[in-house]
Amino acid sequence: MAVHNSRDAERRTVHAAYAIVVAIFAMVAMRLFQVQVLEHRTYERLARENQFRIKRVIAPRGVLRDRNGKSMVDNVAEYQLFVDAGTLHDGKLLPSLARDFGVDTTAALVRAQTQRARRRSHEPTKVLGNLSKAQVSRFEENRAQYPGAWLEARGRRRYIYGDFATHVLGYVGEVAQEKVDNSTGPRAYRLGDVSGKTGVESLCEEDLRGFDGRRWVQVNASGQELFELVDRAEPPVPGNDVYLTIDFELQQAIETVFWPADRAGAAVVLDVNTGEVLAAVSKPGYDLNRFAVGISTAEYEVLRTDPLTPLYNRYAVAGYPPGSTFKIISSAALLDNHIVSVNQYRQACPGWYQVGNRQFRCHKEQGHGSLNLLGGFEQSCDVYYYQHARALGIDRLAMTARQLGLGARTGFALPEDDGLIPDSAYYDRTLGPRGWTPTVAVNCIIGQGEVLVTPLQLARVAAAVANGGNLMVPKIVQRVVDARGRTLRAEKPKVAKEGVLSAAALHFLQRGMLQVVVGEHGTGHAALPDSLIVCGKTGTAETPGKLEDHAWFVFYAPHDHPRIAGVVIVERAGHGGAVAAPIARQIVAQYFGLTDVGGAYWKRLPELRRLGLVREATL
Amino acid sequence: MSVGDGVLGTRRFVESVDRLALAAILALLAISLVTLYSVTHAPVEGDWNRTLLVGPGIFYRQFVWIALGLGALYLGFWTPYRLLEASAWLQYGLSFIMLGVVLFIGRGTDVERWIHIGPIQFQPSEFAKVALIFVLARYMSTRTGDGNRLSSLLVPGLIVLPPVVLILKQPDLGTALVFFAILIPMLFWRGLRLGHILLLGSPGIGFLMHLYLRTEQHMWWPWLVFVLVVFGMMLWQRAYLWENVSIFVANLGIHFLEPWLWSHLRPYQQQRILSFFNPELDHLGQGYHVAQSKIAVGAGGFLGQGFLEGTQKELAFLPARHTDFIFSVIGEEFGMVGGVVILCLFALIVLRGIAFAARARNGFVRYAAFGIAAYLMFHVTQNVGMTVGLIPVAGIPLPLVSYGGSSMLVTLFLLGVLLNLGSRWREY
Repeated sequence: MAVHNSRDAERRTVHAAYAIVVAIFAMVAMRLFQVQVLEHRTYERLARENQFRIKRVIAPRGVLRDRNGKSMVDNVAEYQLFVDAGTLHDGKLLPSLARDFGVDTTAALVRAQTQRARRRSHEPTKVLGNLSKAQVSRFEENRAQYPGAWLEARGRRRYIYGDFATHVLGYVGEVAQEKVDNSTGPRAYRLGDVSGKTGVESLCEEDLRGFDGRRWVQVNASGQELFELVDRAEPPVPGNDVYLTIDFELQQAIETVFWPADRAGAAVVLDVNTGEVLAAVSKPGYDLNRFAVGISTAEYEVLRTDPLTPLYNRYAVAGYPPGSTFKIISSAALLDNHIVSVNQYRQACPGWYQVGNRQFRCHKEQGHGSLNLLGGFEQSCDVYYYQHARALGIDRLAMTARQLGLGARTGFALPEDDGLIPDSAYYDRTLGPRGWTPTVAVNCIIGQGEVLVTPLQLARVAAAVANGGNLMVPKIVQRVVDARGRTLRAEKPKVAKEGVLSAAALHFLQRGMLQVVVGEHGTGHAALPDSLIVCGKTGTAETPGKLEDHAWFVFYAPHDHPRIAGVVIVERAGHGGAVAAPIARQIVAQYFGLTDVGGAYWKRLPELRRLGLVREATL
Repeated sequence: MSVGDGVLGTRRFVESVDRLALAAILALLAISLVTLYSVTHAPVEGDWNRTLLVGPGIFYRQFVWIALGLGALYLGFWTPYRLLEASAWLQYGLSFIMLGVVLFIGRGTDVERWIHIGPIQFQPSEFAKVALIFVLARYMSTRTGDGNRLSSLLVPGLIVLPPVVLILKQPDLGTALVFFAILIPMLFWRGLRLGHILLLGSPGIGFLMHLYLRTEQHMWWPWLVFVLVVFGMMLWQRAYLWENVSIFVANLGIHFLEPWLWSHLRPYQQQRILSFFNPELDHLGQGYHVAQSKIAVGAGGFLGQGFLEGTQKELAFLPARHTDFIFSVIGEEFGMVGGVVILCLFALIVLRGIAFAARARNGFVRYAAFGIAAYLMFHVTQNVGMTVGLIPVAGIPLPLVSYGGSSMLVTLFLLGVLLNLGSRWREY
């Protein structure tokens, strides 16, 4: 104990210490009284106005690129008008926005109502998108008139080439209500978000959309940002770029240059070894940007009722009668089931074929004369196939067709159709066991009747002929690359089925498809470019009604070391050899960088003969 | 511990401990849990936009810290004070080394305050505060003489200086101030008169005036008036000539020292100081945090918004509302009533500590108990004062209530020691 202090001094020190402690605590308590009681109203008001908001920073959507990295779909900034869902009930804001900017009052109220019902009132309500410059400046100048509304620049999807590759790329649109309701977590969709609706936009949605970021900002009563807590900001992670297998130049040339005006149809070009889709055309297309901006009901109605049905994906979802292109399958079936041998000749084709009281016509009225299989294939003689149809039977025909991947989906990642390969079970089911006769095979063997294929399926068959019998899975996404340029996924070629063609069938079909183009009586002369040799098969498919036929051409090229295979169908355009084959020629010329001149066949005949490619197939 | 003490001395603890102080400590720990529950649990379930930024893990981990802290309290209670006294210089030396090490290790990085040993990390400055209390207590209990002579202030001053210099080098202005907040009350307890403390502190006050005047376009005349007042006080107390001369010189020296010191402060420290004196200068940084904290406290009103009902805590303005700014959450949800209850609980512990110090017969106990009370006093008033805009922001948590390990363990250990010093004062 400190002896230098007298008892009194010591007691004074203790009392002073008590007093100081009490005084200091009392001071703090008085400060509490001042802030919490005397100035309570002020701070309460400040707390109410303390509009700290966590603002979402929407991640830029990944870019869609072609196989060479050319961007086909990117984003542009557009101004969108938002309101605070909680402030809408005052009844002044919306009418003035409707008056000055044409905001749809009812839609905005419904939206705000929906948000309230889902306890999402604190999220901004989008009332108008794609504001014009004039609208933006009008809003900014009169901002004080619209308390509770603000502008935000958000990314809008831009389809750089408008109606290019419509049914591959697909479009984005405002996310559906149920998707909003069913998504949770930090990546949940909000009302007004965009998501892919069709095509690759929908297929690769998870890759494309990225991770949204957040900003902590304080806004005043009119929604203006006062400042941001920069150190709390979480920047968004942009969506991954998706590289498609599409070859932009090729796809665009087919759509805009090669295609005959005002015709509907489809074209598919595949890499024969990998199954990569180099081009997938469905004509007509439509401007995808109209959907990205937000299509009106009236506009949509125009698209929906267009007689050429632009909304319809023809290259993979449409089932067409394949016509004579189906002879590829029929020939394989005839050979594999030993109905014919390669050099066996049948009786002459008189131009028609009688089964019972029914006459089946050959496309050549005067008849083809007596032909072997190669000749029948080269000249596409229907009667030759009619003659063997009943011997083959519908079921064995269907089996070969299925073997070649027809009548079923190809494994393509985008929507597609099964097509239809009828067999006896099918007819039993649809017509009843007694409702049909084996005569159906006569019609089916030339790709008419009930047979339906999609262009994609047929292109895959051509690729299988070209690559030695491997049925590939058509691939549309080549690789996914993140914003830093790292490849996340590169999809490998997938074989759906190996060895789908017997050696005999393969040999015949390769020879036959060559002969169609180079043979003197071949139907596909128009497919021959001025250098390099194309193999193919024409088709002219009859359609119900008195309309013109569908023009088909199935091809691969070059003949010795095939690299691409494909199919062209132009609806209601006439003969395959006249309408579709030239398009195929231009496709090949474009892909291999040839100068393209039509009508090269007769000029090149001596060269073809010299090479020993032309064989006399008729008697 | 003897045989009659019960298992691990529990019976003896229960019988001899100061129940009032212990109850206050436990009440504050309970308040800590309640508040952290409120901070970490969103009233709007699954609402992403309003998710609290502090995860519920903090709440559950606080249980662990409190359990460990109560262990530290028990350990402190059973640590013989003679051991603390005997090892005081050793503690002081060790803490000095650790402060040096942390500077050495941390060189080149921004934060040089923590030592990591595996998963454990602690601030040597916390340890240094404890060591300082015991070293000063030991020194003061062994020296006699007039506590009012400047010469008798010399050694305590020299004791405080080395750790303060190291901590200022870190740099951590707030923690460095804690050392003076321990030293000055202990000097007062030794008999230094309040008038002398004011005189001694006059260079410090002059220093603060200089800082304030920085925000007022460097008008110097208020400081000149202040120096004249100090001079007048000296004329009135003529007893200590050389001391007065030294203080006067120090007051004048401040005028030249302050610009030099200012230029050595980190920009964030300059910012804190300026924004305290003039919040308008820094609306976005520190000053903004204080403004937001005041809004939360003020919005609480007399009775508060109610448990879990606070709205400001959800907002993003306070990154440290589970640690340094936890009082603003309490203020908002439990109002002035809740705030005053907490202040009373702390005041109760501090006053009990002073009572322990006053009745002790042993010199070391007398000073150590007072030092611990001063330590708690400063932390509480500094933290609450900062939350309501009375004092500049310094990164000091609210003892026993804020989330955190280091501070919790040290505080409860010291309170354990304090309870021990109070429980057996007749023996001491």
